[in-house]
Amino acid sequence: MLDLSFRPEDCMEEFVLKYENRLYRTAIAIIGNKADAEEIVQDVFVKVIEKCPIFQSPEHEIAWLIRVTVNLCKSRLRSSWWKKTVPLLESYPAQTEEQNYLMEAILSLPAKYRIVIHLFYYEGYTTKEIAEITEQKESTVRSLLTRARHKLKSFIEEELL
Amino acid sequence: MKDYKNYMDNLSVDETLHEKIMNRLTQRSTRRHIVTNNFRKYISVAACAAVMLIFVVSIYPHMNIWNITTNESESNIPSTTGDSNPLQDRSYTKGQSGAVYHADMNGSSVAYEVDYNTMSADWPIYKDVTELTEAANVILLGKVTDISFQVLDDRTAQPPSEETEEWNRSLNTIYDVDVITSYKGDSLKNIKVRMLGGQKGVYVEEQLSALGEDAKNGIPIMEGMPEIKIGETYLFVLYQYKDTMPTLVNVGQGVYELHDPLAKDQYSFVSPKDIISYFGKDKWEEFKEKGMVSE
Repeated sequence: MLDLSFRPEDCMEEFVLKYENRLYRTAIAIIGNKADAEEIVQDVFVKVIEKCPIFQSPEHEIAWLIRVTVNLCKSRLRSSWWKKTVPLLESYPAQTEEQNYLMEAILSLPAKYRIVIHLFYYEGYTTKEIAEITEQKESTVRSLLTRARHKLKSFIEEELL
Repeated sequence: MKDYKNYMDNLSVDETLHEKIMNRLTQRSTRRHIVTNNFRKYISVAACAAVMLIFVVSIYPHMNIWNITTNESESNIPSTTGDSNPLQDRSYTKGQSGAVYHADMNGSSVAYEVDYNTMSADWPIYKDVTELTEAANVILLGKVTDISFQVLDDRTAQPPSEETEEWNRSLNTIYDVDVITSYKGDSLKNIKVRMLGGQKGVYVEEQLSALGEDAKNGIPIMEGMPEIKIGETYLFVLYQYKDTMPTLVNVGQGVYELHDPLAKDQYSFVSPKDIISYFGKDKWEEFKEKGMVSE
């Protein structure tokens, strides 16, 4: 078993550089705005310092970080119902019209669908791995993915009609 | 999904954010270092204090210098035995940890470890009695007869459906109120008033039971929420959206105690008298006739 326990004094910057972009993208995908995603990614690294977890492998390491990111996003969503935020596509405009349609469609979905979409299509996790990260049943993850695809399809069809 | 991947690939942490992250981690790490150094510095002092504390706790009471006896009735821990009000049978005293509560129910002691999460909200503040009474659509004088807890969907204020996501489910405190006088809104005999969040240190079991699986996230508490007690009469200033239960217009101007109807709220300096009189001088006279105030 590898001891990859995080020692912030030794390799803090290296560790942050290694994961900050992936965690930032995960946070943006779930939370849907730049300001909250920026705070969440900072909080994730603070959690690492606080918890000093021991990781069994690099895969375990990133899975733990993503799980923390997902949980912090959920907490933020739970408590931020009164906040007004700048829409993501205003902060980061899409490059093409198709991309804009797709991003609008994804961002219109409830966060529970955005979580599985991001982890499946962007991070490349299997439904079993997503179930472990999000602490849900694998069947729930599969059903969320299927429903997300249907919702996306109908949204895009409506937009194009 | 190629477009999604391309979009996400273009997002990255900029220099400012990277610096923010590093600053927070450095501060955190330094703070920990300082704490460790201070710990070493004061460990000998702490050891001496511990020895003295052990002495005081274990030996001092046996010396019985002043012949002090402990009378349970003088204890500031609430007693639950022989209390005729079943709602007050569950009294909780705050433990030293700040999170452990002991409930003495039917003679058996039960310990709960409860996390409380404080929520805050940007409430609209009404600058005078006109703004306040115009913003509310239900204003009434009522006596609280019961307090219960229910998880509701934040967006609809209705019980959550299958579609309700975890973060849209919130614990609400529900107050059963017998209406004495209705100043604005439908005249009803009784009404249920809801307020987002639970209560700290009381009705712990009821709140955890209402939360169900969500209890693992702790009990949410709304910052600044006034304490509303069973058996007390209040002036409620509420807002009701469609067929949902009405809720306080805000935590500072939504409910008024009546022991001093001239006392003004901290936000707009509006008193219960101002609110009642807004609906006519006769309403204030009527209120006084009910024996609720002596002027």
